[in-house]
Amino acid sequence: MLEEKAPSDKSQDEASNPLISGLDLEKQVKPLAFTIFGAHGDLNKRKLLPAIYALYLQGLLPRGFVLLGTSRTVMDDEGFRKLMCESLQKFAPDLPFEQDAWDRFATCLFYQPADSGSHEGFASIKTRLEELGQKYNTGGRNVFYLSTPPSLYWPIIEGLSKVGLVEKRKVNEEAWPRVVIEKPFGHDLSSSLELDDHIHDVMREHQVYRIDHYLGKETVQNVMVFRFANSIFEPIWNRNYIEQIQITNAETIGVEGRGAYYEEAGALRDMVQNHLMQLLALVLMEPPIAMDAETTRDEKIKVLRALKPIDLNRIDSVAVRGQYDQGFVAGVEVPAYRAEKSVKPDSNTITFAALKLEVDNWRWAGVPIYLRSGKRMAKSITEVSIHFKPTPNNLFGDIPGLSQAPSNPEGNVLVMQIQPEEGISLKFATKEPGPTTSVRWLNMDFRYGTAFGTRTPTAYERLILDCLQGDPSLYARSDFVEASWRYLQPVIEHWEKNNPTKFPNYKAGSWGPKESDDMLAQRGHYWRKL
Amino acid sequence: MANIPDVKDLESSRTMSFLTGNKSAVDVAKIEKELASLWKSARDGEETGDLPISDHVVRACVLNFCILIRDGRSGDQQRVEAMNDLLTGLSLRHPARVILGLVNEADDDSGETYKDLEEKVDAWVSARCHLLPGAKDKQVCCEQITVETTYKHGVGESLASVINPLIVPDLPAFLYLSGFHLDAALIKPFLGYFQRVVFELADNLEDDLDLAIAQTTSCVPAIFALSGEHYVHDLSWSLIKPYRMALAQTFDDDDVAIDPAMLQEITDIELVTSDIAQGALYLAWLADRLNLSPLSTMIDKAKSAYEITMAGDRQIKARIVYSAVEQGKGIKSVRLRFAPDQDQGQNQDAGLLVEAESRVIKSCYKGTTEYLELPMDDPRESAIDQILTSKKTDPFYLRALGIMAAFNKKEKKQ
Repeated sequence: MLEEKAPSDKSQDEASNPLISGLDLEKQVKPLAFTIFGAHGDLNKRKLLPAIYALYLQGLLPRGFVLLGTSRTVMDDEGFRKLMCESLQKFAPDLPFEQDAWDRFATCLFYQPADSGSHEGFASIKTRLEELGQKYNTGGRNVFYLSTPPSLYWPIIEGLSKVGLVEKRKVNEEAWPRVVIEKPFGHDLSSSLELDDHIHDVMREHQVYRIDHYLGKETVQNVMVFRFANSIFEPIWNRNYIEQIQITNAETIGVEGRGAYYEEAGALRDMVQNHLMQLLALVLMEPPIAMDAETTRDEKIKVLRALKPIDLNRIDSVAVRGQYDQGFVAGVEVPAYRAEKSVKPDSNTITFAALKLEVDNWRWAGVPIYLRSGKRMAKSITEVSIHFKPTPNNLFGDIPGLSQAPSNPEGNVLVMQIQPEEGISLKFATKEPGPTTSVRWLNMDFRYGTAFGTRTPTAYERLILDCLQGDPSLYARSDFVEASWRYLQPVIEHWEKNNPTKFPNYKAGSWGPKESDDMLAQRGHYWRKL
Repeated sequence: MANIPDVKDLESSRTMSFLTGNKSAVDVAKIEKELASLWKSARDGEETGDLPISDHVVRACVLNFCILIRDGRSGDQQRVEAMNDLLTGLSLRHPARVILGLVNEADDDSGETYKDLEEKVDAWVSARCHLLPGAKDKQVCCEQITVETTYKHGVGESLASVINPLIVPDLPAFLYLSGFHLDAALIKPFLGYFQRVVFELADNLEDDLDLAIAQTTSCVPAIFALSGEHYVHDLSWSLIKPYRMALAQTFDDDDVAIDPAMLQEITDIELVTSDIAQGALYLAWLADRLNLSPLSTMIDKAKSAYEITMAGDRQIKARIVYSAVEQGKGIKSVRLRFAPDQDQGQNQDAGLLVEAESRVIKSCYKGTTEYLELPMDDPRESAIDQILTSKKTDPFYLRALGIMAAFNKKEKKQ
């Protein structure tokens, strides 16, 4: 029997505390201060605070943990704690709430009102962080989370830089401070590059965490496990066996009071440029040689670089836009986009975008990849479906009607559902019981929610923990963001130059404009009916 | 102080109620979520032993079966109850996601108008569980979602916006219109989502012979239009299959008395039916198989009979006699008479008589009787059973339909 070798090099922690060995505390988070800009906002109340509290309940936060909320709203620490307590109970019903546990957690919550447009504001944040740092021994380790409108990203980073809270670290130095930036990262290619240039003036790339919460979802992470831990799928994961791939992100909701933001963003910037492109890369990437952050992100960027550039003369045949009209969703009549609050009555903002892409590499050449994202669709669902080619000969083709069924295509379909129910299903043919050979297509389903009894952590929990631990694997790297904008830029420019003539062009509660179906029909394909 | 039930107990009792087929009210916008939660709770209960259910519960679904029904208020409650009975048997053989769409209509008899009806959509979920035959410790369960709404302007779109997203992708989706006209605006919003449409022609026709034949004028084009992009399944057609088989076998069996050549000697067809749609379809099928086309039609109101002269390479007189009965609607008998030199003169009772009796169809000819056993199940259940396994629109149905439409096009003689 082989004896397990003791580690030859003791870590610094082990050297100072030999009791730590064998307790799986290798990735324990060091004491730090986590500052949230926009702490009074919706994102913090709904997502960030519940995620941080969940980490606390799991014992994943260090003893010396400080959460400092800041925004223009004036309130004191107690007011902030009360507000956060109410938000937690309202927005995180899946978390067990016990007053005692909350009271213990709340001792690490603090609030500093500050105007992020003024030097004094940043100076006051710095003073407060220094005080708290001394008390909680955070050692100057800071994470700044920008839960603010994108227009404030640079002013905040610049302000932090001017008071010395943000500074450039060498590549081989531990990345403190870290700055977490919410999407959208830029408004188009040039604004994204400009923002990147500014940020890289005061920080290095390994200090920047561009969050895309899709990447924190269990099923998204499972894409890699599914592909690279099962030997049966990878050999057929290519143009020889796959006919087409569809990535759908559909929401039944409209702009839900975010009309002003959405007027500037639209579906392409809000969903496609970030979430769907990340999903696309995960599905199409080559197996990385290791699971470290840079190797994985290197493979993802290769996919985007291999995307066949959009032919400027054929944009309308590979990109479709839409805006929803009045219609019915879940039995309720809902207004047209142009009738939503804070939306211009003649707005041309797109609420639906569909694209046909091709990846020009050995593995994927010739396989169309269809992306679609829309608001006020018939159903809320995000999924990736891999459509395999039909069998080479149609042995059961004499079964009348089977091959012609318009919405029941031949061929296996593998579906990775991201939301609302995370899971995987495989459509396959089987013989119907009985005296004749009759084929019936069935689904074999795996649902995360029912397969594993444990609570599934939220995407923000995973991503925030990764950031605290200094693991940027699930964050978007600068070159990925740039490549994504670069690919989509011709579409953005084309749509900006040519106003839509038929908006609104799809009914709320439908699956988008007819042109989207027509785009797939060119290749004899059609969107999966969901 | 009153005892407050434990949350876990409440959850268990709700799950148990769901599994035993009771309807559990759910938020219309969260039907899938509620279903997932109930199934999860059932599975957890099974593991912990909190629920007194079988050890092996299999949640199964091989197809989507949506039934749209006009609900209760106008005396159609029977239809809802009949459908529930029917689903009990069907869900065992075809584990399906059943979606029951109930459309409340104003009760004209009590002076109620559409404006009196509250405009709302409600939803419930329930499970249908069966012990698997031969495996006493295994249950197969499928789910039923009931959605109820009011018949108002835009009801089709509203109801479809709830029902369509509930379809399980990749599985066949059947839309069964129970009591709705095919050309009703109500069904249009559903058609993009369902590949197969099931209906009963009889629902589209009045119980008046002349009127019913006239109504085929509008009905048949609607069915043809529908069959362009959907598989159509007419229950009226499926229900006459045993009669078609009985007649076909009478001319086909080796030991039967009638030579197939006698088909060329038919001079007269008389069909007694309490279901005009079935009668007309049967006659149209026979005409198609014998290469006959309608020449002229005549209504004999006194005798509730519709006479059709048909011609191909010979002329044949056909007669549909309507016989209203309360129960067991369908074809009662078919009599074929043959040319005198082949037959037994002009005797009224001469020829071949195909007649339904309890669970059997008798074919009587020259003192010989043949029997075709009917399925043990309810005929309607058997018909739907066959439809759910069929792969396409029956081309013979479309041919019969084309001829049936011509029954009304020809010049009428009074």
